[in-house]
Amino acid sequence: MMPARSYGPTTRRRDVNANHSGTAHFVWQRLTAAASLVLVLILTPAISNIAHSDYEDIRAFLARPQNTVPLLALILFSVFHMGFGAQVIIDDYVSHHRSNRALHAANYLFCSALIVSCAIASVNCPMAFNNTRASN
Amino acid sequence: MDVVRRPRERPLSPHLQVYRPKMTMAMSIMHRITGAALYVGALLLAWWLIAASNGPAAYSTFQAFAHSFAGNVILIGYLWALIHHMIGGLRHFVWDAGKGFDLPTATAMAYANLIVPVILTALILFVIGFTSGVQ
Repeated sequence: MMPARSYGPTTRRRDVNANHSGTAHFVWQRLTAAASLVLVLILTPAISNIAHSDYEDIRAFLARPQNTVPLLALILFSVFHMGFGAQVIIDDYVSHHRSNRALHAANYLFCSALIVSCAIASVNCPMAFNNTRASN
Repeated sequence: MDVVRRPRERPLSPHLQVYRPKMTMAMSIMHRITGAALYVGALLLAWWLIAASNGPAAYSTFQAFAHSFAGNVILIGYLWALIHHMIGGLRHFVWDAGKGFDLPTATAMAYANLIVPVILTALILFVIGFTSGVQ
């Protein structure tokens, strides 16, 4: 049900502000940015090293927690960061209520699916790698 | 009697077309465009990880894309967009600290935001040996 709404010059659309809480949104946008920045600087040398690697090298790279832990942390923080950014973009350009809500839901689902699939993929890697190595 | 209340027409604020383009304005827009591009580009990172976990066949599909001309263009564009957004973000950290709001500094930072990412992208491509690539 849509809530009853009154219109007037000073009436604000209460339901289109990012998360109903501008300050928390602002702070989290910066925290996730700073965390992603630090992690990307940590990972840049390692990622540069595997730029021309073949499949086995990539598996070996992903089998080491010192690579996957910062990589997954980077994915977590940067996906949160881009989810927050997308909320601002949606609220800036999509004022039609239902479209706005639908896009926010889509953003939420997309970001969640991205984090979950990346997490499962990177956890799956080391196990499969160890199995191949054990069978040799 | 039911009275349908409609929102009163509100005056519109001036929009993009009335402003003379400025470097700060262009870099603000670029920050949003690169952010939106990176949102889509995150799928590439997910594809890479999922392909690596799925096995050699899935990974060679990803490699075929990455080594194609279109793949090169997209991945280099992704790298540049990431660095551009990162440098743009550093600018925002400076502003969050309450500094760099004066016009010369803001304009200088905007020009740096245009030039530095191009240099850093070229530097990274050089370091990973893009020119003497495997393909």
